[in-house]
Amino acid sequence: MAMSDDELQSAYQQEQRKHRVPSHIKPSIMGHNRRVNKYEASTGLRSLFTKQWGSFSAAAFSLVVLYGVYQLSAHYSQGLSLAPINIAVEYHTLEHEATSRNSYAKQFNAYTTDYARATELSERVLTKPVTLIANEGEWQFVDCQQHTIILSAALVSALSMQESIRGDIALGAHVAMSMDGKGKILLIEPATKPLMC
Amino acid sequence: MSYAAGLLISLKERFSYGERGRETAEDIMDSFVKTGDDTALSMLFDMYSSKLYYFLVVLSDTDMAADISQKTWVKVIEKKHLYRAGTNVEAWLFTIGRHALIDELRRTKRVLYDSNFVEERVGDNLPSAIVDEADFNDMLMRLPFLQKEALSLQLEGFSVKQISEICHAPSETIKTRIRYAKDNLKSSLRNK
Repeated sequence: MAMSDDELQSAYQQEQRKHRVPSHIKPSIMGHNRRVNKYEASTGLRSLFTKQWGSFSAAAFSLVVLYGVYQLSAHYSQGLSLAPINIAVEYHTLEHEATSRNSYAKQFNAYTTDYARATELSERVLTKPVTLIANEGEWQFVDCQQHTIILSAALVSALSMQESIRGDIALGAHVAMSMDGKGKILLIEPATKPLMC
Repeated sequence: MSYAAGLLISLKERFSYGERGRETAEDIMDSFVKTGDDTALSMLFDMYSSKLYYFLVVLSDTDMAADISQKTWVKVIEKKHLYRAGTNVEAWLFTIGRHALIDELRRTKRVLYDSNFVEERVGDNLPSAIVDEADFNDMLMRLPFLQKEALSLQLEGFSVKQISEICHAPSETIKTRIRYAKDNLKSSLRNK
């Protein structure tokens, strides 16, 4: 018996109809689809939350960095405008000594021999408590901010002659150092009360 | 007569979803890919599940066909994002089903899937007594694996090009397999 292509196709389709897919498969597949949808919805939300949280964290971090940069910049600009030279050491000399003491880290206060005497007391604006830590040649004082104030030996001598250094000032003595508005030393005398930092 | 009945059933399945019945399978698949919609999946299942199942029965047996059918639809659900718009849905589905079946056959070593076996011209020699009682399905299943695979896909309505893509074989090879399969089948039926 010869069989045409059409008959083959017809026979194939007849057999196909006899073999229906088992009925339990469709409910199982549909259930699986619902579970997948549910999972994808939850992971989608989680992913969205994660992305949002990531963006929020990035924004917060940026703000912190910007704030830090702003503070740093404000700090430096403030420092520059108020204290162009942040000195740790003040150096007080007579005028003719000043040229030999050229250093970036030192601020010089140079005095004419008779300047201090002429302006003594009347110009006094500040009394700074300090401690004498060295008195061999130069005198060195340290204040509450741990700034060192150095008086050249010549200036010490001049101040002594002008009686701008009064009393007995021994090593380690607490001293009241009076200065004028420009930071020039007018008077050094023993402090009446202990150094309070 | 039976051919006309089959056509009527197909038409009934095709238009049993009201307005959505006007959509092509590709439209429905696009919708399913975008939304994971149950209705779309249900429609696709009703359209193709029996065709796929019978194709798998011919290549294995009813138990394995049921198992692989289920795995195939699970993959359709889980890998729907891999479907490219405009791709023939049925061909995509059969490709997934065939891969799943071959993986299972290799895993269980139940059926030899060997390239040396591919172009074998003649299938199992059925004893004449069995041939007398065998129906079309039995004889189809007796064909060499790759012959019945190619012939089933053609009888399912796929073009040689599509079969070539599903089976990852050159078109000429597919044509040869189909010709041998038909010769074997017609010969067996002639002897019936």
